[in-house]
Amino acid sequence: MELFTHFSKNMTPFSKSAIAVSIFVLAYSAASAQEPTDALRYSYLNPSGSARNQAIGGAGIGLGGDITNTFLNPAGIAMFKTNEFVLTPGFSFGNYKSTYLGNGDKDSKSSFNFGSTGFVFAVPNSKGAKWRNFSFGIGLNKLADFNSNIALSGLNNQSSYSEKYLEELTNANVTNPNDAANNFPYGSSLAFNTFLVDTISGAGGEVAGYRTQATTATGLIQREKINTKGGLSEFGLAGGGNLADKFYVGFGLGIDILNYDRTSTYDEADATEVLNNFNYFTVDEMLKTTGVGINLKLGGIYKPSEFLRLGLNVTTPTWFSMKDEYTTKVTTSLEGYGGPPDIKFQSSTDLNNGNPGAFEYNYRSPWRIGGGVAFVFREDKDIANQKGFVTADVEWVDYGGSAYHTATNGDQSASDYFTKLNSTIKDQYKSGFNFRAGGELKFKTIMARAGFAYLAGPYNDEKFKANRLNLSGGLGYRDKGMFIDLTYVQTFGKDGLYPYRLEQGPFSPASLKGSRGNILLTFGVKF
Amino acid sequence: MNTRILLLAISAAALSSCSSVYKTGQTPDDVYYSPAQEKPAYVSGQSQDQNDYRGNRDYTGNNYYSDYYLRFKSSNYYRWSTFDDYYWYNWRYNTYLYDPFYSPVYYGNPYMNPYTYYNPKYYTTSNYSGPRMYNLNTYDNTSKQGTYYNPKLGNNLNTTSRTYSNTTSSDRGGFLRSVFSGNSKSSYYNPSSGNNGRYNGGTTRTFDSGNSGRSSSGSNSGSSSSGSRSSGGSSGGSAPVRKF
Repeated sequence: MELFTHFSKNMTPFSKSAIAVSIFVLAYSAASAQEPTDALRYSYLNPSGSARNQAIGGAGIGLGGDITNTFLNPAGIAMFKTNEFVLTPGFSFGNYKSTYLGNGDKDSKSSFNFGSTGFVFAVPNSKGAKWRNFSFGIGLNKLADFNSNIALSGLNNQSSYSEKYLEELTNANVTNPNDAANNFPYGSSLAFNTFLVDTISGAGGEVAGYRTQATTATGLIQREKINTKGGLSEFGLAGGGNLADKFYVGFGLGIDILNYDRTSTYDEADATEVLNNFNYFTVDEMLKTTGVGINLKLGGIYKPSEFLRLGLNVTTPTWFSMKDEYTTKVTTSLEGYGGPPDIKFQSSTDLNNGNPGAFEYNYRSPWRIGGGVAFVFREDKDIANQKGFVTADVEWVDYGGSAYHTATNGDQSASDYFTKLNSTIKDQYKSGFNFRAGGELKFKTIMARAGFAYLAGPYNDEKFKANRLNLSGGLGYRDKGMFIDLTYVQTFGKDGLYPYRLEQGPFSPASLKGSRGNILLTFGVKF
Repeated sequence: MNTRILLLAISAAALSSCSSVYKTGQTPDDVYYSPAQEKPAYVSGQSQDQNDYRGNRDYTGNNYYSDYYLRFKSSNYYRWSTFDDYYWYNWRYNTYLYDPFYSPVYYGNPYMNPYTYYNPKYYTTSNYSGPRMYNLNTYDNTSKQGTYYNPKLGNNLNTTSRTYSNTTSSDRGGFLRSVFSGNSKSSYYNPSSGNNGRYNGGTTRTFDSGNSGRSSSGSNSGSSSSGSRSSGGSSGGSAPVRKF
């Protein structure tokens, strides 16, 4: 059965929990429903940029002079008085540990990616002019990589995934079983038509309630496999002006392209061999989200003295226009319950004229405000006198400020749902600070770099203790009109995953610990 | 993957085609110090030849034909007139070629071309159009999030090493049980011992409409069976919508 074929052969001996995770994405959602974790996926972003920028922890708000400033602080682009082309391919690989119901496991994942890639052009002004030059950056940068595989399993005698169907039906006060069979094509109706969920008859034959066939008290084997693909890339345009080599101001435009594919298979099986009208059920879900967004960036850098630089930047929310396509399929094996066939299945497409569910909406990511400082030794034309720099950034992000909106004003139920969803996002997530710092030692044409980045957890609930730490180092060579930078970034992250959530019953998260290595190589040409 | 390879190929081609002007001398590092480029001479009044190291002086806009070209052409018209085509078909000199409003390539613009193809994906009709609704009340259930597991109370039932297998069994439930238990499920699970089970006894959990509290099981509409499960083949089929 293909359910288990994706595990690596070097996994530790199987325990009740086997989880293979990637920390490319924080806060995995357990279901394909639109929930707060969707918003976090597009806003809790690891630093990204050129190899040089990544080697110093992604810091660069106050430093400038790197193509990464096209996506970070556009004022840094104004420091360019020369032109350059930059290409940054990358490769990531990780080892991940997880704990679910007290049991741990690990697995690995690797993928190709890219950092800041593009052009910087400088336009000199007339000699003696106050505005010395205007410079422009244009390029592509990968903000997030959604490629990941997750598999978890555990033995649970406390609750069943299927209880969420019961909650859906009872919350909607569904007393007509025909409504239960038709009105919830991505949840309860599929469970009801495959007899996983059935009615409780009252004394007069009326529907008194609903029950699940899942035998929670005698134990349920729960297992979920989640595959995600895609990424969030930004096409950036930035322009900046240099005022007397003292003040630098910049303005940027970011066009974000989102592509997220998620498929999941959730299995729940009876832990016993007793015939009790429940063998197993499976829920297969597919979600494809695409979107295009736009944001603006404004920044400034001030040099109060030769060695010191102070930077400030503001990135507006990214306003996305998004589209979801999604399907759900429920398969049950109930040992004869509900009549033949033994294995019953129904897809949401069966209830939707063969089509997936589709919905277009808008999403707004949170504001980002950052400040940076840099000490540069020295700003001399002769590279023999350029000895190195240290720089640090702090960035504030209001994760709770993400919000969904309907694309049209006509659908009141969607609007009401988004209102409640936005309120939940505000309750669940807080604002947080990200810290980035690093430095470089320069020996004429050879450079050595090191840095770190720390992203505080976005959750109000401290149970997860989620955070992310990047340690980085790299080497650079710059001569004969070209430069090559090689960087290694090691990421340590903590996160959590709820396979399902219940309104009344108990449910438990899997805690995730990830360690990922990322190699970036930047090739550049000055022209 | 193909897109990435294409991107890399294009970038590599662009990279290799870039001819650096800093092949000799020091390569500027803009983080530390960026050497100024002076403005072209036709604005500053200096000699153009001295300042324009990029060698683009013959198509700066003010010079439709370069001085060199005109001098050569005046000396031998027929020999140098062949370069007229070069100027005419070079987009640098002939705006007609790249102006989107005049260029014949405009037919790629879907607003201008009546034969624009459409992506059938965007014309797929769907009866259901709405957000993927989630029970957001579950986020209020903070008292029961991850609170029931206590490793000191024996929930960690089985630490036996297991082996993954790629079974062809059609019984997914049996496969999951075999993965968890090895050969015998009873070796790892005993509901009467070692479990911190909050719910004892009942085989099913029920909900009443209009009353979300849990209750004991009642009668139901499906047929039931009892006994012991045996392995073997099983049949499957699409479930119809139930009608009452």
